Amino acid sequence: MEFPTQQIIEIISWSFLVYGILAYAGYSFSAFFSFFEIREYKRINNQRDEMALLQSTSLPPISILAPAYNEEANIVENVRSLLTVNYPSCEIVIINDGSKDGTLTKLIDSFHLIKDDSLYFDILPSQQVRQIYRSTFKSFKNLTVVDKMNGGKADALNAGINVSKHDIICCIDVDCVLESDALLKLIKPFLNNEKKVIASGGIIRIANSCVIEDGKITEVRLPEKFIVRAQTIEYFRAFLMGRMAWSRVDGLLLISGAFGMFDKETVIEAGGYNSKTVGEDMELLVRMRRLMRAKKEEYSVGFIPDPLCWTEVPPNWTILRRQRNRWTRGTMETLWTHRSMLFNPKYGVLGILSTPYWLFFEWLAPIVEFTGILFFIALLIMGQINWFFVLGFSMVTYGFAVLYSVTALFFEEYSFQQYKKTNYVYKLVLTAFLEPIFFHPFILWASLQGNIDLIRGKKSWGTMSRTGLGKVGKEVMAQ
Amino acid sequence: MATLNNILEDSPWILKVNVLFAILFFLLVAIIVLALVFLRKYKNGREQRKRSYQDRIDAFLNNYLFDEQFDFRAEVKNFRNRHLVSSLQKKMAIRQILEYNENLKGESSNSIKRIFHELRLDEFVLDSLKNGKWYEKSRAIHVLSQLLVRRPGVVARYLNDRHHSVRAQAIYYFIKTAEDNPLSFFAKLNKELTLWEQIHIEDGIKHIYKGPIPDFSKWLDHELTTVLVFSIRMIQQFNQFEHIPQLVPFLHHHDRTVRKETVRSLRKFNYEGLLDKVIPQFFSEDQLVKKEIVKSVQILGDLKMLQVLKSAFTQQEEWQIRLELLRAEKSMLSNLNPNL
Amino acid sequence: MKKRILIIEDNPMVAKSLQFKLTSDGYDVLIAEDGKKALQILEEEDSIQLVITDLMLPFVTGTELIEHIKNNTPNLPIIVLSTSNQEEIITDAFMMGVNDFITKPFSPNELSLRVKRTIESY
Repeated sequence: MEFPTQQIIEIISWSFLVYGILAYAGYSFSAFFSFFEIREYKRINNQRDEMALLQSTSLPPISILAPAYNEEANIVENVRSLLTVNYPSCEIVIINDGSKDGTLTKLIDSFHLIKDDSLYFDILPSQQVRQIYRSTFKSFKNLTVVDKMNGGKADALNAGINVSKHDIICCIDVDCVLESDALLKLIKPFLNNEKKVIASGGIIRIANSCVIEDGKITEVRLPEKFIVRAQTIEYFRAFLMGRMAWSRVDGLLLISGAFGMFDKETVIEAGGYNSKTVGEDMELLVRMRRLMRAKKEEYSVGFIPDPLCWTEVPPNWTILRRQRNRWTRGTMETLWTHRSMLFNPKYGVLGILSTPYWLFFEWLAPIVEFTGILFFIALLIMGQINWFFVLGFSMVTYGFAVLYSVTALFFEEYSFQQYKKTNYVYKLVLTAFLEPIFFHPFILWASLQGNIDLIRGKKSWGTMSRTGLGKVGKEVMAQ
Repeated sequence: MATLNNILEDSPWILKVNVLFAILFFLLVAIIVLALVFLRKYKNGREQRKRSYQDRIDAFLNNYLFDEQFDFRAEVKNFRNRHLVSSLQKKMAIRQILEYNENLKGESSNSIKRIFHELRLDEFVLDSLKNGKWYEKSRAIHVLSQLLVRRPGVVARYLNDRHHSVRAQAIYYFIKTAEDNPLSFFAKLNKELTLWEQIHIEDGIKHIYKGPIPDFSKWLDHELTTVLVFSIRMIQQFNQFEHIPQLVPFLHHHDRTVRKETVRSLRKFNYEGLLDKVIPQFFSEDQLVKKEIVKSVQILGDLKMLQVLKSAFTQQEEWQIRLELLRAEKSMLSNLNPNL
Repeated sequence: MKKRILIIEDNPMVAKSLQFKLTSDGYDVLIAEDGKKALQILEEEDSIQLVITDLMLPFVTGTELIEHIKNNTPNLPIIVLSTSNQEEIITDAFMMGVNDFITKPFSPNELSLRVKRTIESY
């Protein structure tokens, strides 16, 4: 029997070319769009009078919520860093999510905590709260520590929301490094009087290898390890080639769990974080949007392109694999829960553009890619391989991947240029050439595993330990 | 090479297309990488030039400020003619002058404001205010306000500008430069204030403006709702309790944000008649106002009053208000009996 | 011989102005833009007669620096130049033994007189 190799290769080649060119055109278009958005943002915000505002007592108070699970090693330092945040009126709520180590003891000792029996309401469901603590020291008077039974990140945040006092909440990862005016910039979108703002978020930057002193970034350095540098490029692609554009058309589906601000009332009304998914940050925003849509209330979601929050990304393959596995499951769970939005014109941009985008580019892409590889192996076994085809096809795929990355690098260079040293540019370009060969296949494998795990019904958190590193929202997947 | 050509010649067109696109992609990669490197070099060079120019400005300004032998006429003329030619140079000089202005006080601060005019940078700024793009306009107003250049007539035109940030800067200009009556610009305003602007205005009055505190009741008949809300809040913030009688009628204003602010301000004034006026209209009130009323009962009323509201309150959908009622009740109970 | 002053200040504009003003007053002025460099200079130079420092500095904060100086060379006078005007911070600084506290924005003429007075009293 004659196997129609050539026809099949032709079809695949064409599909890829069309897909690649469409994707590249789409990304470039949204990158240009993002670029103009960023430029406009910078023009509006170059007056620096925000800083003068810091004394103002009329800014709305904020509750910062930070869950901690087995963070004994750094918790004291992290909380100290949070306490220095520059904002006139905020409380910091640390939620100890049933840590098995000495997280709580360390907090109690270092911040002179005593039991506090103030009242609060369990308006959102969460695991049982054992005790609430406050400090006897005046300098830590804004600190509240909630000790609860273990229930995962979403559950911990819900408990934090119940205990928090203020109407605006800011959910962050406890080990994030915030820019000093981060809260001020994030609150600004809430203070317009045109539309109700339900949430706002910003760009996440990679802190690995940076010099951090007293909880502040003092020198931005390019990560030394290849695995982290490759993620740097992923982040550029995600944030610079599109995030702003999504924000402009009000199609953002995700505010990173590492740093985001929310209107508490809307969060509660939507039901709070869903502790049954591993993609709780994305799922919450989608649910809040649906709620607003159901209430027929005008609203918006803010997005700030300034680097506001720095976080460590996985520095080794094991943690990275776990993170990506989880992100894939989170995306799938969210899309499945809200599948009625897909292609539904009732939801406007969200139904027509955002959800299909996540379905095809985020979830489906690795699967398609994997099928391609399987097909290739099949041909190989059957001895049907024409090596010139393989070579031609590989080159075109590889060329596309590199092109996409260097375009993102170019936008970074043009807009923020965070990495100041000249030889960083060369290192990043080199990384862009290596990434499709040495990094991407691994990511592909991790997200496939995520799919398999989900189908096999693995709902658990992949060792529930928030490794302390698995946090940066799912931005990276939105490349 | 020849064999490769032969293979290409003989192979199906799809392979040719693939090769063609691969070449195209790599070409683009090469172009972008070159552009990237060029951009970096260009930026480095520009930084270098900027730095050396900045040193020049610094030297000039420091000489002017601190050197007793400084030949004022000649040096100013020389600097203007030789180093203040391009618009980038002027912009950088202005930025530096702002920096000095921010960090110095006393005589030096006056001298800095003077040199701004002597270098004729005021003309440049006024020109960019008149002819510039919106962000240049907004920047220009900012500069004028920081250096206390008094041109209220010119700036007033931008109070109702199409662009939000120009409007905001014009508002801040009036607060920062006013010697008395800092809110006189309200009369010319016909676009609503954002919360962000309101916070700025309040902060400006508290921390920057040095004159007598204005009588906020003057603006209680303003046609803009946000100006009205702002004035009500300020009357309370600045303790102008003599205006309480004027606030009371606003409890029945048609706009819910006005009613909310009035309830809140009167509560903070501990106004005795508040509860008698708002409780009768509680059930027909908007959620926003209901919340404030519950808080007022908690602070000014007694537990019985609150429980009456609670038992009569049956609207299932308003969970926020029910929660507020419960919270108020719990807190009042624990105040009554600290051991609870 | 000219008296030598070390200025620790991360804002280049402020540092330059101070240097200019104090040089024209007849002092020899050294500048360190962060706490680390300041410690290095203090280590190498023993002819410094006055330190003017900011409190918010990169790497090593002004407070740490003051502590270090007071432990090693208790007779070296210190003037703090800071944007902070909170009572708590000012009293804390005096408790640590600084000789003067000047808030930003500052008047160069006033600062020059205070520098003169501080140096002369030692």
